[in-house]
Amino acid sequence: MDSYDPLWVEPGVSISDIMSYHLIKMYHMAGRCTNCGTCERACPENIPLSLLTSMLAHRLKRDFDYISGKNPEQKVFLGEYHYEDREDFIK
Amino acid sequence: MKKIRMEDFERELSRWGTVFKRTEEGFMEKDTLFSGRSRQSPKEFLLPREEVLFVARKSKDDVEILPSKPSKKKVVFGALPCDMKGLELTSKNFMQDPQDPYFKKRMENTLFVSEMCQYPSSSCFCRTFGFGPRAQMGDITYFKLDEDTVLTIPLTDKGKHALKWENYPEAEPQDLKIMENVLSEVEKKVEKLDLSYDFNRQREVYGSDVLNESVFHCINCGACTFVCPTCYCFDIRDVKRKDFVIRERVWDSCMYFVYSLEASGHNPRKERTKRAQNRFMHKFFYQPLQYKEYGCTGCGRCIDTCPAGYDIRQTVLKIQSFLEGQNG
Ligand code: SF4
Ligand code: SF4
Repeated sequence: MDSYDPLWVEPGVSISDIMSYHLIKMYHMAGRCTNCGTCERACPENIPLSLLTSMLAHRLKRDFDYISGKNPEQKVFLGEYHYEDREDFIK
Repeated sequence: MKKIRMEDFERELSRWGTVFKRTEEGFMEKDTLFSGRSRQSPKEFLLPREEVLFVARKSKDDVEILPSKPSKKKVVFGALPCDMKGLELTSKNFMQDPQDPYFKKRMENTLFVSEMCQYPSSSCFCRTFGFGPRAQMGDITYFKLDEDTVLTIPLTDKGKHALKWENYPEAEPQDLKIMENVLSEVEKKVEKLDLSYDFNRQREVYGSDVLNESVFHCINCGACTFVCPTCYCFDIRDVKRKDFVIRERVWDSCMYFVYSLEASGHNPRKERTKRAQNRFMHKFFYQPLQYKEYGCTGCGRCIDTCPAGYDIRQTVLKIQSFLEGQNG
């Protein structure tokens, strides 16, 4: 957010900028977010952020059998890969 | 004061412009009026989140400047005294020489109909700043007698021309008595902090341990600056599209690192707490020095909004005793 160079997201109120901000954020949250719901409670604009975080949790479980925050021993999600991982969604 | 049925009142006002009512979120085109302070103040009617100043379009071998569209006529209905005070303070910045033409135009095209406040909450402290729930502000002010009736009075010429006042009966003495009783009850519920700052001692306060500790848990999210009716910082940006450029004004926040970043790379407020201190300093020292009035209306929005639980009243009181202590 705090960056003008490169400017990832313009500071106006266009829906595409707001959406790209949230999607960029969500990509980085995969495997870290435990879907605890604090962000939604903190949000002053009452944005239902748990819609995005629960989708993230659901996809991780479905596609990679990964649940964040469950086991302190497990590797971070974005820092690990298996040869069998699906990659048909990468175009 | 005139006694008017809510329905007639609204219908007459809608002839002046589109009516935006106080809702839980902000001021919107809705049917019902929310019983309480809205989350967003009406400052966006004068200073929108995103405002196009002009569009520059490339034509063959020239650049064409297209002015922004004129703002529509709008009625802000049910703004509370703290909302109105916020707009008044914000106007000081835009309406003194040199006047901001965009702000001025919006001011002319907006009719402010304020409501005397019956919705005190635990975070309100407006009485600290020399006004209160009964303040009569804006172009027209009204008191909600019950769900269907208002007692109302115009305060400006604009307000006088908005309604056919002569068609409505005067309020009866017993109505005025009810109003008086309700408002004095409401007043009792609103906090009044005792403060008498010596603004010239600003340098002792900024950077002091007391202030630093008091704002320490702020995470610089900027939420308070967006809901605050008196925070008016903005940024001017050029948005590039294929063959035109939009110059627009957007809300900015002093809580962000890039806000105070200078072209040389130096940042006078590079520490997180310095930025949080600055917001307090601006409202309680710099603004009074410049405009002879505190830059806070005590609406309590920042207190309700802050995800980190920062309460500006704590800082206000701590600085008061800090200043007193130093005096001996
Ligand atoms: S600083 Fe807080 S209490 Fe004061 S006017 Fe702004 S939002 Fe309201
Ligand atoms: S809302 Fe709270 S945490 Fe966010 S910038 Fe304001 S004081 Fe800091």
